[in-house]
Amino acid sequence: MGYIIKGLVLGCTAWVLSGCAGTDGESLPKLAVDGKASLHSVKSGKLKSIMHDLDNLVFDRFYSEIDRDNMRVRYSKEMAQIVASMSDDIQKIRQSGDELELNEEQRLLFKNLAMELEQESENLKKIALEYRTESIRPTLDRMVNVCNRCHSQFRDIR
Amino acid sequence: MRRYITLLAAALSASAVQAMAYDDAYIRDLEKRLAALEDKSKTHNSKGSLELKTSDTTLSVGGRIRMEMAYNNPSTGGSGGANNGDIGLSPLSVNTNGRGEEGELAMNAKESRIWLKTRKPTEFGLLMTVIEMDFYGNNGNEKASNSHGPRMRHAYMTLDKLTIGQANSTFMGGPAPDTLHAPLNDISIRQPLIRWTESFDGSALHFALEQPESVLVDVNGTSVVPDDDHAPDFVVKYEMYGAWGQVSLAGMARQIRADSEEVAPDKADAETGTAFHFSGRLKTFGLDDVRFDFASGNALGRYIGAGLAAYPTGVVDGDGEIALQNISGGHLSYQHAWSKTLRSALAYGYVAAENDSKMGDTADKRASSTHLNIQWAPIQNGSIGLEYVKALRELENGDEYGLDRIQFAASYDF
Repeated sequence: MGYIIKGLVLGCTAWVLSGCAGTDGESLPKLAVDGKASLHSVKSGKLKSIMHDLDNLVFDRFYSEIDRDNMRVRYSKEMAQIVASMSDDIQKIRQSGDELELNEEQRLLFKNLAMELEQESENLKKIALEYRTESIRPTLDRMVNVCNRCHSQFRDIR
Repeated sequence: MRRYITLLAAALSASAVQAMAYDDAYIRDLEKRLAALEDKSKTHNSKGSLELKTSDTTLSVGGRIRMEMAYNNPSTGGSGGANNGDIGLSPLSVNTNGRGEEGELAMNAKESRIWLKTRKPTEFGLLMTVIEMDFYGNNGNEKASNSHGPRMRHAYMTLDKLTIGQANSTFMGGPAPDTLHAPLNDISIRQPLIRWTESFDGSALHFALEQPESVLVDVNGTSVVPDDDHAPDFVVKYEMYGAWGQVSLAGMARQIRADSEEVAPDKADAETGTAFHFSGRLKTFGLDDVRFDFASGNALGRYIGAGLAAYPTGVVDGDGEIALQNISGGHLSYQHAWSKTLRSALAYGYVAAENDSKMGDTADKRASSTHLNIQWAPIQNGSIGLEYVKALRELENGDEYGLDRIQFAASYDF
């Protein structure tokens, strides 16, 4: 009887732990560099360029703080637009993922990351419309984090 | 016995599932709280770090510490110990007095500034205000304390599409070249204004009435500021922007007027002049961009050349008659990012005046400046830079003068 209970407890624990462990240690396929990935890369470059502009706004000697806020909001809207477009591309890349025979778990992870990116893009747009400029940087940091997680799992970082 | 074991297994499984459900919900809740805390922490580490919030108003405080050091050859000469012309850059920074001035090292931290801004939603739209000051007010001495006085830079509010207060002129263009001081054609001017802005998707249209100020010279070349203006300067500007960069085209109409006793007794005259300003910033490769502007017209006057009135709007003669003069100027600069933190700019700017024949032969005819720098931003909002500037100035009589400057600046925005 004791063995049965111990077995059940160990079984449940192992099941819970396997869920927490996720996909660590499992080698995931890298997406092929096709047209969609190249387009994604171009948009990613644009995004980096606007983030650079955002960081360098403080170095413009003439802008007032409201001028800067207007520019921050403008840049945020542009970035939200680009990220929304990237989310669409990612949906297409997901279809490529099907061709690459991603398993169910990998497909779910890809989908979740794509959804997170879309959510952050919506969030950034909302922040920009409300002029909550102090929240732009944390949102961008989260967005970059999603990108990095996706790239480290599914694509060589170039 | 089997029944007992089955019941026990079912109970344990239910308990385990409940525990897992509880744990998942608990973990998700904890994750949310952690993310919120991280956001808060990052928000408070971002620029404009000190924020005070009431139910609907957010007050932010921030500023800049900036120290500059410049070696000028020749310097502008004795200016009472202020050395403003030896740190800032305008056509007047190029010495023409021929008193044998040689090089001089100047240092100051006058461009340090502090600002307060508020944001509050209203039934008419977002209400924002800003007050900003630096230390280019009354000059302190360099002998002991360098206690330079504060000066108002910006003090204005915006309510949705309306801007009222002292702000950057609508006639100004997009981002200035990434130089330690703008090239000599610099169009940067702050003044009281009333502005209406209509925004569209990727563009905006501005209409503004701005403070007038006629700045003339008499036939002896002496500056005359009659303070007789009747109408505000009128500016309209259209700008377009996107991930590719931005461009803007501004047009201005000004009435230049003088009727004062000291100009010509019992005489009054007024002339209306116009000017345009085309400027932009276009992304090129990677993080690089090119910035340009060109302005021209017979109403440019005090708007060009760092606002120091090196180029008057016109001349007023002994009969009180005003003659406006055409002035043109522009700059072209390329900004290259060596890396995310290291950048350089190469810029050239010039300004030229078609002086009226009544103006003396010592009136400024043209000036130019070439800048090459390297700037390093090792921390966010902080930058140090080193720049070489070659400036030239030519008078109406053909005399030419030059300035070589090595400048260092360190700044941090908090």
